[in-house]
Amino acid sequence: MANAEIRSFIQQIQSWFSQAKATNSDKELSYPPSEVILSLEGAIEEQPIPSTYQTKIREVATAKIGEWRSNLSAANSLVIIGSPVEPIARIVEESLLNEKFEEVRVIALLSEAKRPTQPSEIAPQLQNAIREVLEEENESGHPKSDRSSDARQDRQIAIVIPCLAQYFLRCIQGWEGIDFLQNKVVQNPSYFWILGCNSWAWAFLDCVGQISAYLEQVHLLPALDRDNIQSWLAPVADNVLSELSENEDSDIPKDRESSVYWDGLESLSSGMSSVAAQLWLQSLRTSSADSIQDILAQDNLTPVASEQWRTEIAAHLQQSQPILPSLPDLTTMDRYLLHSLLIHGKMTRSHLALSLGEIEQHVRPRTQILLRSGVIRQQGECLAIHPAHYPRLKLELNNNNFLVGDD
Amino acid sequence: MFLFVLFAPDTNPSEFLGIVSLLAQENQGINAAKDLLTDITTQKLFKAIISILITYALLRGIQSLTDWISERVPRRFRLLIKQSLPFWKGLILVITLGYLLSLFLNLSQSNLFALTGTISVALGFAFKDYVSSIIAGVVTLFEAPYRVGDRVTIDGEYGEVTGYGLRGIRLQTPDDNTVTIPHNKVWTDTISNANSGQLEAQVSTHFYFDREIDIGLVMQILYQAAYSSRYTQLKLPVVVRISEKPWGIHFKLKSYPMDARDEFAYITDLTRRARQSFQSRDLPSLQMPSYLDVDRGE
Repeated sequence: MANAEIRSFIQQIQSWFSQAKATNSDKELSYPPSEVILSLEGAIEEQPIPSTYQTKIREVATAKIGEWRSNLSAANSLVIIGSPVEPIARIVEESLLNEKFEEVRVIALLSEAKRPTQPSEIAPQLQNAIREVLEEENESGHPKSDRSSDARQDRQIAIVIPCLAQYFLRCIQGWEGIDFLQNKVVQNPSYFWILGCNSWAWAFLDCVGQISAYLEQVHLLPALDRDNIQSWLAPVADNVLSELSENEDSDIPKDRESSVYWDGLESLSSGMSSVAAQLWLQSLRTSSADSIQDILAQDNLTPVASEQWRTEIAAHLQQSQPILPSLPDLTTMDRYLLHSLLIHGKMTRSHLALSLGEIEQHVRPRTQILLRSGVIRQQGECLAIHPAHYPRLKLELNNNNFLVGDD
Repeated sequence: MFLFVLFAPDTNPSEFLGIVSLLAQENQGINAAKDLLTDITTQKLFKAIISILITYALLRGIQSLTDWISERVPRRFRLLIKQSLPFWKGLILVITLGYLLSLFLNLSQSNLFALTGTISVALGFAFKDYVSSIIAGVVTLFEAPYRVGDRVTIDGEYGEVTGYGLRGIRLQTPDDNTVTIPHNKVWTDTISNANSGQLEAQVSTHFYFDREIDIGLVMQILYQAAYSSRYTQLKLPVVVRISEKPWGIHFKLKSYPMDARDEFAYITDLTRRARQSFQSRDLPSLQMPSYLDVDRGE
């Protein structure tokens, strides 16, 4: 925790300096049209997850499964923890579902990762899914306990639940499903359980139910360094950018400017892929927004990777120094609202109101204000924190005595 | 007495000199008093009475005038005008007192010095409590039985310390009243401090049930109510205590809000959440006989 605080403080100082540097000397640069940004965002989302995440998760899972298979008393669970703004479900799925672990078969549970509309259905959904897979395996001859003569050989199934945060709600009886899961993990040592969870949800569940006593093996997603971020964004960024933002009077070589840019991005994003992606998008500028608008008005927007994009759109884009966006003035209610969103990852308005103990009509005005300010964003029916605001928001909530995740 | 001494057969010379000096001092005092006071004439008495009557009329007049003006100006000036009244009254009284003193006293330098000395003794007795409060305030800075931001109970008054002055502290009560408590209360009264410089202060929320209630279920609901409340400081423990009473069972939920200022909103939230859950499970409320006096505290 002390290291996280020191890191936050250093990031704060660096963000002040990066803001000072980000003063745009070229007053003609402006933001690209929103259609361009949305296209780029879509292209980034279609990218596979950073290879660093996949490699590390597979490494850890292989090691832990190996231990579990060779040692009867080894822990039979592994929790992958990431920040609330990272797509933890997708990261866990892409890392594990097509992977082979010795002779262990991987079963994915609840890949949809969507919280049921009715709070009373949250626990049953998780309970029923777990019961079904256990009963199915038992019927097919898989032993429930390690009482067979060669228990190690019977350990052949890994059950993956990509996103635990979607299966609880901060209300009375809201985490009964998690209690059920904890007990099933302990009662079924012949199965290896791999779960994805965001750090804030994990901290909450540890407070209310001591989940770490049942699921003791926890692994944090590694922080991406600048090379990882640059190589991950390269398929999109290389298509877009022809040149970095240049100061004609500067003697700094382009390589050095590029290095400073990616160093800044790594520092501000704290190695989180989603934060880095959003900060990169927000650092894009254009000197000819009108030209781009004319092109968009004439034709439908072509895919980002196409030659037409490169020549007509990308040629007008530049990247400036990344900065962390400022938070708007937050009321006390806003902080509670944002804290609830961070714990749950993403949630509907009705669930948000329930978790806050308010009726939905009282919560709507604040959510609208926060949506307009960009601190939160709408993803289908759900609200979620905008990744670019996460570093500052975490600091803000920590300073206001909230329980924050350790990521 | 002088004649007695003169004619006493065994009068000691030193005793005689002592008596003479005492008599001389007494005479000196009488002369000093005569120097301080001017001649009291009928004209001066008449002037004094007239000035007192004029002062009385002025005081009544300024009271009526400020009341009249304050009701006619915009609302934000009303309190300002009313608050200036004590100063106007004080000014009139000071002028009148000065006139009366100049009328009846010779205010020379030596006389003024003597008069000030007398007044100082009187003021010392009058301000002893004020000085005691100031000294208590200084001691309190070091001992810190209360600080600004603390939620304290002093002399039956509970609230947040919002001001720390020279003479006393200001408490903002839950009913939004401001209570001023002198520092010298610390010498004699007990001071109960709920948070002592911390942001969090423990809150107790009380629930009452009949003896037949499922205790385990109620406790489970209360724990969940505390953990699910947005106000709860999750880093601090949540505890449910039970005590048997003649009329039923008393449950006390002890938990901490993240900010002690949210104390009453927190209790409301906990009570609402718990009661909703009790109702959804048809847990019966306590039916109290009217003749029983319920102990709702420790």
